[in-house]
Amino acid sequence: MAAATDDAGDSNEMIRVVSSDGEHFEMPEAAANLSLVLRHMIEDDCADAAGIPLAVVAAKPLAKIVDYCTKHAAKSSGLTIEEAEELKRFDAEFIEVDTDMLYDLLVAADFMGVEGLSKLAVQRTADLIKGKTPEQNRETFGIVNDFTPEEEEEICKENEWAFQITKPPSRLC
Amino acid sequence: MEAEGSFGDLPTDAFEQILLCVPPSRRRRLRLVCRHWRNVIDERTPVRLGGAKTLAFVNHRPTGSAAYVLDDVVEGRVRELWSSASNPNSLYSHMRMVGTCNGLLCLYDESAGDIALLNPVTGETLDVPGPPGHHLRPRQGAFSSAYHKRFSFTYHVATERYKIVHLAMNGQTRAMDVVQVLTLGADASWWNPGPCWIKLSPLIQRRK
Repeated sequence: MAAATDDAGDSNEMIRVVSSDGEHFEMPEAAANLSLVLRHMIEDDCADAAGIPLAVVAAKPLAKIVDYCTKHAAKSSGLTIEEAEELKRFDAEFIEVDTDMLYDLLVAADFMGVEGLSKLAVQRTADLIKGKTPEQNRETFGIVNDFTPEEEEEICKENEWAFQITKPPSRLC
Repeated sequence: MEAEGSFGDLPTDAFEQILLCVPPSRRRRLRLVCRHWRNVIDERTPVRLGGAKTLAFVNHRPTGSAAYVLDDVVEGRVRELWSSASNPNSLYSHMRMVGTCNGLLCLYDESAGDIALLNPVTGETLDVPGPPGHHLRPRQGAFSSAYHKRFSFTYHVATERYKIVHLAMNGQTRAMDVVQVLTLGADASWWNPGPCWIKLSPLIQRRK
């Protein structure tokens, strides 16, 4: 399940990582450097043939993260407008995932210190949350309503004003 | 990892980042989803009620205007915050105070009919054109000396926007039944206004 090896930037060395469930992955050093944690490990000479173990990242999200880093490392500097747009399209497609994967990516990107991916996952989650009622949010994200009916009523009351949608002002003259 | 993780107990730091991407008015409503969300929203993104409770007023004297902070109500300790006397030629010497919010002063220019916002601490000012047609109003009559009282200056917590409300006269009926609202600021920065007055009339029925 190795990632693309062709356009690896200036370093040809491949970095091996191991998921929490024991799967091995490979990516170019430039890609691994996008992760703060991996970069520190590489700098400290902890990247050996056995691979860097990532104790809290499972194979599924790790495969996605390796993809993300490889793509972004290959196109990191001196982007043309077309390349920047292509990268944007890649991101948009990349983050079209179900909420389980989105959660895994949020946690894993945060843990591995992949800033760009963290931002991407955060924005995607915010976009999903924004326009929904509390009930729809619970459904979407599989959250159990753990309020007592009394508590719920109390919060509803204090929030009453927040349910009024403010219309954007239109010009008078 | 997939099985145990859920958005119901999203790590607080990551959740805070997500909340910051949601507009404040919608963020409040997310408190209803579950306890964890409510707690993070309350702890990490508290509603800003404005730390500075400035109590200020402007005296309109022949020499000009001034604003004060009342530090101690009981002992009546007063600090002068700003005075047009220190700069007699300043634009602000004909100012009357409309109101004060979060330490900002909203002033009304009696001679020009315009509004100015002033942050006395930083010295920043913002000129806001008065409501449309407002400059044409007759300056004589019983109301003219207290015209600034038709304005009010408020801060809307849910949208984190400042608003100026104007109670105006209806051109046709001559009744005071027109309300105009100016919302200041675009996105996070209220200091950069996109002024546009909206007409909410007829909001107030004329009383016989």
